[in-house]
Amino acid sequence: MIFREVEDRDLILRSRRGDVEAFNVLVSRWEKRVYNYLLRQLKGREDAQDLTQETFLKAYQSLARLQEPDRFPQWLFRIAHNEAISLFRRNKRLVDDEVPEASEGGSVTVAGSAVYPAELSLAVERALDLLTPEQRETVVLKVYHGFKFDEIAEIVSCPVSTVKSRLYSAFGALRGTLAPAAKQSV
Amino acid sequence: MAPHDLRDYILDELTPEQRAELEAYLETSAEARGELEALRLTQKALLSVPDEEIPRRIAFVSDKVFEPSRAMRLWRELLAGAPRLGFGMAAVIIAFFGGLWAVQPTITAGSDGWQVAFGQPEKVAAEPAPESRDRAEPSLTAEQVRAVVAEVVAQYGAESETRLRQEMASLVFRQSSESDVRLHAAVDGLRGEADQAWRILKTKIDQITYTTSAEMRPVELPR
Repeated sequence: MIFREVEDRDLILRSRRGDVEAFNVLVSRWEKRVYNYLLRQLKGREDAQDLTQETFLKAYQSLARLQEPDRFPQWLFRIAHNEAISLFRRNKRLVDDEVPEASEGGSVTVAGSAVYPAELSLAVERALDLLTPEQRETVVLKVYHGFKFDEIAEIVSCPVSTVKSRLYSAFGALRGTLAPAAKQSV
Repeated sequence: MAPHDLRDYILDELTPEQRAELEAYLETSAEARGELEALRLTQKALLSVPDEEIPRRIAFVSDKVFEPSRAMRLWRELLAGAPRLGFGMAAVIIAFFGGLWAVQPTITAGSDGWQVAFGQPEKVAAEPAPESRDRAEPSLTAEQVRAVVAEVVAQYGAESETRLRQEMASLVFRQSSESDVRLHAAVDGLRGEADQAWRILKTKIDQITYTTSAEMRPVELPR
């Protein structure tokens, strides 16, 4: 992990000097993570792909302003977060229409005595859909990307206490449906 | 009651000491163990959804047309470090003027070259004796020295510029190798003229005594 950080720092410094190939190596390391973060936020592969590309383009253009290369992951995810927010705002009308549809039914049910992996994945997607966008983003950053509370606070630009509050309430909502499903999974 | 939040434990936000305290508590509480198990299953369910591969890999192409120039990149890096640069420059400027104030140098150009003295100039040197002032040749003021220098520079500068323009005009539409030779010859010639101009200027400067101090003094011609 330490070696990886050193290499990222080296690639960042080379990219700052205009080395596009060094930046491409950096992109290849982080594109999958950024894409999946955006995908879990946006629910559309095309949008997630476009915003991932936009995120890296903006990262390249503003790499000189990154004061601490060791904080590259938070900085990169903050750009992606801002891109997602911008898209939400552009499509606000559309998103507002989609929210009631997503929460239709009110709860996630897992049928049968045994839950297969595909069913469990579906249950997770539905359970995540029931969270607020802020709660969902916090869960994604914590569970899927392993950021610490203070790093998440930096990415989403809010106090650590707010991050904790969002995460605790999200886990409270998820536990009721996902814990039984996971227990029955084969 | 649990000493720490179980969600912090499952989310790996506790220190090793806090983890140990909580684990000790879990040994004693079946309810806490049940709660922890439910949280573990929740996390397991979330992690059962794997990451997707990105549909199209992203790669940027180096295009010299759109890339910032070397100067622009340097400028951006300077801007990125502007606060540090500002503090550094301020420190250097303060140190420079502080040093000047501390040593109070006096710079003198005489027939034996430039001389720098530190501290207050001696009264005798700064103020010529009345009798020596009476015997002195008509003195030049600083304005007159500037006028002499400007005259020499203008004269040779104008000549040099005219010659260079003539040389450049004659080089148009010639073979490049021949142009290079003539251009080098022209530059050498101009360099010689510049050296000559400098020698004349230095001779004129050597003929005068020019003293700078906090108070600008008249410049005297040597007797």
